[in-house]
Amino acid sequence: MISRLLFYLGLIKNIDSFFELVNDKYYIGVIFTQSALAFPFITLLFLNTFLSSKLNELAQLSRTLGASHRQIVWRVLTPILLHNAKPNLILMFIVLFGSFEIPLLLGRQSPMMISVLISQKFKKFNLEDLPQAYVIAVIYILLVFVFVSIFLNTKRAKF
Amino acid sequence: MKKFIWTMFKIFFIIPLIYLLVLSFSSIWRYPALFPETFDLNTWKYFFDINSGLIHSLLLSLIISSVVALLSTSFGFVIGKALAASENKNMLLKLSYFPYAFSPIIYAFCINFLFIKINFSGTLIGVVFAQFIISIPFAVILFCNHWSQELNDFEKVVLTLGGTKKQAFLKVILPLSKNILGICFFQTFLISWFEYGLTSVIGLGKIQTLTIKTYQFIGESNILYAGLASVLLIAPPLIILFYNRRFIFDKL
Repeated sequence: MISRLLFYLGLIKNIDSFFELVNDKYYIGVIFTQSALAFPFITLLFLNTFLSSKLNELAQLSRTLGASHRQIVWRVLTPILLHNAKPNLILMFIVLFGSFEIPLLLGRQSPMMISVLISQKFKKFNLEDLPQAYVIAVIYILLVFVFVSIFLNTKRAKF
Repeated sequence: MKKFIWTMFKIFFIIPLIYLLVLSFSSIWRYPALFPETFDLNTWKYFFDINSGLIHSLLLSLIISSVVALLSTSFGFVIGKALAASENKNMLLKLSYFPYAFSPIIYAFCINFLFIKINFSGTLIGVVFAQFIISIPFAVILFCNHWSQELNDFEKVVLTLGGTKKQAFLKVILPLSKNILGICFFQTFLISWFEYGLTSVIGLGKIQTLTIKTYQFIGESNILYAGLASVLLIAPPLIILFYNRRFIFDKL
């Protein structure tokens, strides 16, 4: 749709002039789609964190104490917002790390994201691929274990 | 800020939705035409054609998701209460996060051997059970936080005043938990509704849910039918969003 629109506006000459979003080298299509999907969740998350952390009051206090707008944003609001939203952001990272459907549709055949790679290895007829699939699955599970531990520790340390 | 959020909402949500709708009402849409060359109901006729299997897939998805949501919410409510009262609450709650955090497709491959052994592979009950396994941690985590000391105290007050356990549950606990039960039901319904990887592995392609059908059309590069299946796929979340619009949009 974007490429059709750009063509209509005369910004591209044909479909080949449009940048690749499917099977592209740098996974831009996957990153863009995942970001678009995460956007509503992140917006609601930051909104709730903003309201529950009483950041408006803190901003007003900072202003009263002489802080500039830039200082309020970068030294007060952003650190508190990121710190308080950290557990959920880590959880989001874990979910995206193991995402399957979008990389399967938009990603390249090589290199593949871990879920797609494991799935491909499991589905191959060559039985030698099966142990490899289990090894990769174990590596994935260990990594998730580490990330979840970080998530749980961050949740406990949250102020 | 509000304007920015609405603009982003339109870009990421409303425009793709309109695109899918337009796609489902067109028969020919060659590149680089900005709009389809013809608007008709041919694609929708395919949906109503019994042989297409789309109605069957839609009904099957509705049944599977409703059963999974009902089971997860019921069991999650009971398990959440037991977990909240447990001495090892923190450890058990931490363990609950693991199935929730794992990629469902990898989880499916890990449990696939067991499912083959117990003859659950390629069956409807197998798919329901597998989806139940991935949605129950969500319900447990949600209800564990809900079962506060205050809620337990309410139950004790009813028992002290001569009420039975059944009365305490039906007249006090249930009305107080109504909202969270609804949230849990809808969330687990959505987890099941959009599930693709796990269903494809455990269902072996025999259980043709709507997501399986959608990916099948995408795999065949049949964008018109894929658009139609996607419209059907996003209909329930939209209905849920419509009913919950007060809670979401009032904040914005």
